[in-house]
Amino acid sequence: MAFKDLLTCFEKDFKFYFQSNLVYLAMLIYLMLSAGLLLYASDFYLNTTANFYQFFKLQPGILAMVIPVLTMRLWADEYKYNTLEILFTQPINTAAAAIGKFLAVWLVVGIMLLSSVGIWLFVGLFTSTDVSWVLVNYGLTFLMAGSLCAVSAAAAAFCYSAPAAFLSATMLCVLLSVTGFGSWIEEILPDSTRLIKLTQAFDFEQQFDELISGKVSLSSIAYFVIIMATALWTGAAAVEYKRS
Amino acid sequence: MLVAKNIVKFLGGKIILQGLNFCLKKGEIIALLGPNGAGKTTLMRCLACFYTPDGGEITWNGKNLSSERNAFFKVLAYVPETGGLYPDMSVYEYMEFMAKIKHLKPQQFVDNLLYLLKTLDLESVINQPCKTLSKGYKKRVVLAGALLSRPKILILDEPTEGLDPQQKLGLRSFLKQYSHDSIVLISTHIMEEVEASADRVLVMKDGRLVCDTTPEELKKIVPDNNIESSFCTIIGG
Repeated sequence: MAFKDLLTCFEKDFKFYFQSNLVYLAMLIYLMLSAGLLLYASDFYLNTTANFYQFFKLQPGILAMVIPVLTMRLWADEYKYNTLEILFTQPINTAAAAIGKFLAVWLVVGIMLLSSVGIWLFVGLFTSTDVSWVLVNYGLTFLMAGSLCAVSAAAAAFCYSAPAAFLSATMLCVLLSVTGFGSWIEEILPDSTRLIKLTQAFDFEQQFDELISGKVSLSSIAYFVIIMATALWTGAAAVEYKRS
Repeated sequence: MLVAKNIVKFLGGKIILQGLNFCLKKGEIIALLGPNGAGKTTLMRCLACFYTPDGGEITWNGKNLSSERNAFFKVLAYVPETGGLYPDMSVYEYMEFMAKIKHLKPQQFVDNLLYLLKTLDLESVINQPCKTLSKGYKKRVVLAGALLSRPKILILDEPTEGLDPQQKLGLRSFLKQYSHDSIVLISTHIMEEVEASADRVLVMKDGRLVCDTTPEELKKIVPDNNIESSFCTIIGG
């Protein structure tokens, strides 16, 4: 029955995105940032060979700013409209609700990623890109986006209002995805090889870079799955705590 | 039979419910009275399993609520004082969502929906988004959503708040009828409502149950037979 509850919550939140037009706003911001940054901030025209690698490399930073737009109302609206009391006085558990909500955002982000196919076609005018490489990287970007969705949803679970949820989720996602703390440690403490290696192992940007550079390893995939699972558990625990 | 034994609840480090004991039986409309901050909503939330009591136990037909939570949810419905609706959903979508989370079978949903739309006069707004409804309609939609599973225990926090006199009368007669084979617990500030619909009154003050009686007995506490004066005497106002 828990799976059925999860699907019910997923369906409700997925429908909400299209009813409230939030998804179109997020998609617009996403496409503008993706195309704008790819063409004007990544030396796209200076490279002698156009390639789509830069597009994927920019994704953690762009998604870190766009995903909070989608997750900010995830729990805030439940608090605002007092629907949490309705939801949790039904035979449904917090984990099912949290996972259902997360899956709804993740699928919306997946649709958003698909909307960027136009950019790929545009790049294809200048160069020939390996279709299978692009598809694999879209899949890996979707996985990485899942971990940002979970982190952003967890941050939203701690907040009672949508603006607070947006700000905290953006801060958390940006800190996680684009700061590259592995390279910071390398600059501050260049001699601490062990520490550098250790921090690089936890570096979001580096893990994603390795994946899209073709070094797909189980540990990198596990890294994103672990972030996702931990954030989901934290989000569910936050809702449970607030409820009691 | 719903039995509460020594219920204790802390919120934000403050004790809200201080050892409440009572028993609610089928066929009764019980009015929960008390000044603001007496703990009425907290008690209702504990009975609805939204909060877990920090002490004591609640049993339904001898079964403990904490261990039989999911089974209990099937016989319970709770309507909060405010909100409870998803504004972007239409009334039908809301009812459908409620039926799904209550695990109702499709036929059961259709039958109950038709009955509730007619009884609560919601047929004209079935396709309307919840955000466009008036306060009275919103209250009735939340109530209809709660009643979809025909619960044996109905807990309503300030159910007539914001309703016009005609809607109040309609709701009262509906609850009277509904309470024949169910427990209906309502929290209210309106004494007229207590006199008109309650079979039993529980008065709370500072997280304690200070009176458990009938409206008729409550009135007799003061010489002028006035329920409001009796209530004020009990709570020391």
